[in-house]
Parts: sequence; structure tokens; C-alpha cells
Amino acid sequence: MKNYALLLFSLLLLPLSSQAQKTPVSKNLVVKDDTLSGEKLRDFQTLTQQKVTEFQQYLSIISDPTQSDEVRELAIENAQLLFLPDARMQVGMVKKQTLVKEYPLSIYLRRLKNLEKKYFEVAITFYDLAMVGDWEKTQAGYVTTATYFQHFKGKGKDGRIAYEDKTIKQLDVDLRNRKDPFYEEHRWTVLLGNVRVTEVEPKKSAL
Amino acid sequence: MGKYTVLFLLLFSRLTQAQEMDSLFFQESHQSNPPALVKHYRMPAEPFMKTRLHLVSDFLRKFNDTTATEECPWAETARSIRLRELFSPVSIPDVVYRKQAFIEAMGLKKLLKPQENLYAEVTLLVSHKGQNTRLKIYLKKQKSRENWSWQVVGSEPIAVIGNPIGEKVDSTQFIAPNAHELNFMSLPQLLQKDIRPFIAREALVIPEVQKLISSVYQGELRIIQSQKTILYLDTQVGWYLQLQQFNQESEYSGWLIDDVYNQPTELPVPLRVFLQHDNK
Repeated sequence: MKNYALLLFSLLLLPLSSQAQKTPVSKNLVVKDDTLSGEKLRDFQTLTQQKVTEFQQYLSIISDPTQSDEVRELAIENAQLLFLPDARMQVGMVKKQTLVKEYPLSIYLRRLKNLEKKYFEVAITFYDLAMVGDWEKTQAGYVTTATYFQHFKGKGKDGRIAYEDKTIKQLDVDLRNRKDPFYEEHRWTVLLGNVRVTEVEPKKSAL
Repeated sequence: MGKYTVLFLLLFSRLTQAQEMDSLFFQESHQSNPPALVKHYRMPAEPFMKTRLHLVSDFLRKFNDTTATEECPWAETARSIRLRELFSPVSIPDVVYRKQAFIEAMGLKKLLKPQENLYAEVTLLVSHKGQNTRLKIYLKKQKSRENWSWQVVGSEPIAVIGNPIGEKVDSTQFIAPNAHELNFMSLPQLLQKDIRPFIAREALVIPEVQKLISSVYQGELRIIQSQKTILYLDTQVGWYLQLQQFNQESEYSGWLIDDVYNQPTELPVPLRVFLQHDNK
């Protein structure tokens, strides 16, 4: 009798629990494992924002000569884990030059580590803003674009600004059901992709 | 060495120098001492960063917003103000006239399926028979079942006598639907690897597209880099919008309307050719 009561109780709860999980189903009530619910997609948007902020933190560590070499190397390794293996980073687009150069992310990060050899004093500003667009469905999963801003100032020996720019960084974001190397099973994961760089023109004076 | 070769070399060396003038790759002549300090700051976002129309979806959201504002309770006037804010600051008389006509014609009308009527013109840096040149190709944002992607629908003419196109199609490859936000950065690698899967079926009959495919397959055309993106949005109410990204520290920046046309004849020729084939 007790077992029947338990079974009945479980059956009563079943519709509630399946509603709470919101598993996407087609019109024919077939479970679709290549789609995610709106709620899940919003969670992945938040996760993307966190990953962008984490990437900015790694950039700060990699470019900081006061950190030990081991810490900076570890930051390079961890930064790369946030990205797709073939991700590329744009540089250039400077002072109205339309030419841009692209580097594999690993090379970009290595060169960033050598920043101290290029300038006498450097200031990098990140802003409390990591915008993530709406997900768009593709045949492989979902994609979107994340945006953040960066202000760079490099000074020469004489204390004068040798180089300054404010740039918009737009990152490709790829969400798909891929095999997790740690858990050895398929799960939905977000990875960052190619990074586009555009320089922001300073506001023109009214005069 | 001819006069033009010397000029080219001078220009090339200046351009490559400019390229290296990036924040991370600045070549300082006296770079012996390490920096005294690398400072990192975290600041609140500046006002222009919040108002910028970062993505085309931001542009469309504002375009379709027909609610009245507190400052201006009349819906049509509020809409007209909002539409004006979507234009880049242009002062060419013809464009100003077309802009006014467009705003009046739109009234409170909304774009119903804007993503399905979005086209892109991408300027590619290519090497054709060993000579560097620019080539414009045209793409359309397509939906197949529930999945979005960009597909090539047209090309500027290339003076190449083409062979029949390849038959093999790899359906796992696609141009991501957000590619325009990244200035189609991955497009050269994708097209160079195998161009055929990225061509829209309706565009395969267009001679210029056939020539584009065959010249890539024959190795006569090498795609190096995507340089510039212009978007065209068919409003489905008789107007076409030309969108470009404007990046300045201004209240209105990001994706903005550069021009409007109420005649399809004003669209670039390869797009018109595709639209004619698509409507058959």
C-alpha cells in the first residue's frame, strides 16, 4: 500500500518536474537534443559574460611583469582553454589604416607577454561592460557575439604617450554539445572564437 | 627596377609599418629598459559604450520600437525621432531628402522578418592570377529548418573562363549567422578551403558566381582577407536600407543607416541579379 502511495505521489510530481526542466520537444513530442530552452540559453549568456571577464583578467596577468613567469605562463594556458583551438586575434586597424593583421591566439598572448619590452610604462583599462547578443541557432549549435572595450596607453622613456588607442573587441561565441575531455561525455559548452578589433574614433570637438 | 615598382615598395613598407603601430606591437626604436610599471584599471562603462548599437539585433530592436517616450508621448513623432537616431550623420542633400521620405513612408510600420531579408556586401582582398586586387561578393542570411547561416549569392565579375563547378557538398560547413558582426573574418579561410558548400542553390546558375567558384578551384583566385562589410536590409515595404558600422565616441554609433533606396535598381548589380533569379 505504501509503495502504491509513493508511486502515485511520484506520478503526480512528474508533470511538475518535467515542466521545471523545460526539455525542448518538437510538435510530435520528440525530444530535441540539438536545441536548448530559453532559460538555458540565458544561463549560457551569463556564463559567456563571465568567460569574457575571465579572459580580461588573464590579459592583465599576462601583461604584468611583476607577476612570476610561472603565473604568466599558466595564465596563457588558461586563457587558451576559453577559446576554440583555431581562434585568431586581429590587431592593427590603427589610425584609419584599413589593413589588419591576424595572429593565432597563442601567438598573440605570447607577444602580449613581451609588452614590457616595447614600452617604458603601460596603462590598460577595461570597462565594466561585457555585452552578449542573442543566440542564433545553427546546424552545429548556437552562436552569438560578445563585445568589450579596452583603452591602451603606452609611454616612452621621456614620459610622453608613445601610443594610445581605445578599441572595441568583438568575440565570436560558440555554444554546442561537444565532448568534454574531462568528463568524457557530451555536454553543452561555450567556447570563445575569433576576435575582431575596431578602433573607436575620439569624439569630434564641436569647434 | 621600374618607377612603379619603387613606388609600390615604398607604399607597402609604409603600410606594413602602420600595421605594426598597434597597441601591442608598437616598434619603439630604443627598447632596452623594461617598463617601470604596467598599470591595470577597471572603469565604469562610458555613456557611448552603453548607447552604441553593437549588433544588428540592437539596431533591429530600436527600429521596431514604436512605443511613445516620456518626452514625446505621440507614437508617430517618437518613432520618427527614433528612426532619425538610426541614421549616420550625413549631409549629402540627396540622402537627406531620401531619409525624410523614408521616415514619412515608414510611419509606425515594423519590419516583420528582418533577419530573412538581410544581405551583405563583403570586400575581399584577393590574389587573382598572382596580382592582388579587391573583389566584392554578396551574401544572404538564410534559414534552413531552424538553422541560420550566410550563403554567397553573388559576385562581381571575374575575367576567368570557368570549368563546371564541383559536385561535392559538405553540409557540416556553414558561414555562421553572426559572421557580419566580425566583418566576415573567417570567410577567406572557409571559401579558400572549399567554396562550393557556401553558395546558395539559387545562385549556382549565375555566371559570375560560377566563375568565382571555378577560379577558386583552379587556383587562379586566392582569397586573402575580408576588409569591409556593408549590409542591405529589405524592409518589405518598398525601401532598402544600407547599414554600416560607425565607431566613434558618440551617443549614436555602431550599426547605423548609411543610405536608403526605394528602387531595387539602386542596389549593387550582383544583388539585383540574385533577387531576379530568386523571384523566378
